[in-house]
Formats: sequence, C-alpha cells, structure tokens
Amino acid sequence: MDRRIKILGRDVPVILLTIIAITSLASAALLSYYGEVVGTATIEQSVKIDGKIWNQTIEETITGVAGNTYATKHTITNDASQEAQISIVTVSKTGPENYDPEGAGVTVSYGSPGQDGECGDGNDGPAPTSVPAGGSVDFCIYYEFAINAYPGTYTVTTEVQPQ
Amino acid sequence: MRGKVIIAVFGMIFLLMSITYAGILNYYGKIEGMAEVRGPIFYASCESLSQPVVYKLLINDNSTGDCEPRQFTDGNLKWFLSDSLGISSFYPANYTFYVKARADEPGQVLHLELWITDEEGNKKSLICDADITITTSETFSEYSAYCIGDSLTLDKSDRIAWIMTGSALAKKYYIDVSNGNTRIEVSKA
Repeated sequence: MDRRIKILGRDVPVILLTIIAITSLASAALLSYYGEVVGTATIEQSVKIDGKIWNQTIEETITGVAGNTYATKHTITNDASQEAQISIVTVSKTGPENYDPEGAGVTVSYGSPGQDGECGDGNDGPAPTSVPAGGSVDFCIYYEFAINAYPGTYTVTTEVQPQ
Repeated sequence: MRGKVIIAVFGMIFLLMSITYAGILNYYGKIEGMAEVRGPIFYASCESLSQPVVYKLLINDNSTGDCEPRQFTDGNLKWFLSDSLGISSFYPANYTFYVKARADEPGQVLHLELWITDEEGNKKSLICDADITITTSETFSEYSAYCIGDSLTLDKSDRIAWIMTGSALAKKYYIDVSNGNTRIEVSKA
C-alpha cells in the first residue's frame, strides 16, 4: 500500500507529495496584504538665493578701479516651516597673473544692508546667520580692491552653506 | 565564499553612504563675481591744502569741484598731494597724465613730476616725470603725456605728489582742475 513515485531517481511517498500540494493550495488562498500604497514625494529646495537653487550659479560682473570697494546685494528666501541656519563663505579667489590670493588684491567680506536697504553706504550690519521660516533676508558682498591690486580680471566664488 | 561576503558588505556600505551623501546639500547657492579692475586714478582737485601752491590729489574720486583755473607763472610750482596710500608696495606702472591747460603764449612746456612723499609731504623719491607742450592760449585743451615708474617700496603713510612746473620766464600757465579734467591714470607697465 505504500505507494511511491520516483523523482530524480529517488522514491518519494505519494502521501508526502499530497501533503505538500494541499499546503501550497491553502497558502495561495490567503492574502498577504489587502492593498499597497506607494508614496512619491518631490522635494524642492527650501532655501534659495535670489530665487535660484544650488545648481543655478548666480553671476555678477563688476567693472571697477583699484582702491575702491564695490558692494552687491542678494536675497536668501526660506520656504520651509523652520528657521534655516546659514553661513556665507568665500570658496575661491582668482586674479590676474602674479596675483597672490593671500596677499594684496581683493578682499571679500559680507554684511547686511542698513535700514535704507542699500549695501555699502556705511550703515551696513553684520552678515545674516539664519533665515526665518517662510521669510527672507538680504545680504551684501563687498569686493574691496587694494589701491595696488594688479589691474586685470578677478573672480570670486561665494557660497551660502547650511550650518 | 568568505571573500564574496566581504565584497558584498563593502558594496552595501558604499551604496548607503552614496545615498546619504546625495541627500544633503553642501551649499544652498553659489555666486560667482567677476571683476574687471583698472589701475587707480588720481584727480587734481580744487581743494586747497595750503595756499597758494598745494591742492588735494583725490584718489578715485572725480568730485574735484568746480573752481577757477589754477594759475602760476614761470618756474613756480603747483602741488597736488594725495592722502596716505596705506600700502607697502606698488607694481611697475605706466602713469598717464591728462592736463586741461592753456598758456599765455602757445608752445610753452609744462613739466610734470610724480613723487613719493612722506606723511608731511616731504619729497622722498621721484617716480617718473614727463613734459607736455601747451599749444593753445585762448582756450583750454586736454594734453596728455606718460611716464613709466619702477616698482615702489613704500611706508603706509606715504603719499603721492603731482608737481607741475612752468619752464618759461614771464609766462603764465592755467590749469583747469574742475570736473576731473586733470588727472593721472595708472596702468600696469
């Protein structure tokens, strides 16, 4: 009565195969889950400079004379619901031939406009270190050229970084 | 088998680090400022430092005022003296003089000298000099000349003096210093 079937050269009892078949059918009949929700989130950059995001470099051109300081104004906006801590840093300076980045030439510093909203008129404040939730702050970049700065082209790269 | 496990573990760590790194911005924004810078400009001004010969030489400030032409006779001097420069060196440079002038009689030579002085205005060293010949007597014209100066070693309190000297006897020179007409432009030699 002990009936067997030969599978891959071995004798397997029919009763064992029957049990496996029944278990498989029972398992197939039960739902593992009732449904599935796939969430897709597109996140935009919350802190922007002059409305631009990290990969959109802002370019500004100055034509000037050695011995003068030139100021430009920019706006940082924060669309998030929490304050953003920031720091404004100079990441590179290049100049004409013989220019020494550590020596005389161009000095870059940062501040904030005075109450009149203008940069470089003597009423400026310190550079901002945070941007309020849902708000904005202005900041100034000062390019100060020493009177003995070599005439030529200078390039300064500034980044607004998360703290 | 063990080697494959190690490679797989390192692969997972690398992948996780890459995902974490990619998820955080290093900076919110970047500003690239490009500046085309020329040498300084020194403007002869109406502002008197001491009568009757010394006037202020303004640095990069063309608000020289609106005044009657400065005038002098013969070999007398007119000085234009800057504030302290606040630097310890200067590169070899071309100094181009622009002078709006006339003389009593055409053909008069005006001698121009550029000096480094100490804080009190005492001459220390001549940078360079040049002459212009004034060809107009009735109306003012702009004349130019240039000279080349070597590199300079300076004290921070040193100043620049532009000295104008007439060369003809009994002749009168008139220099129009209003509105930035009379100046020195500096460029790299």
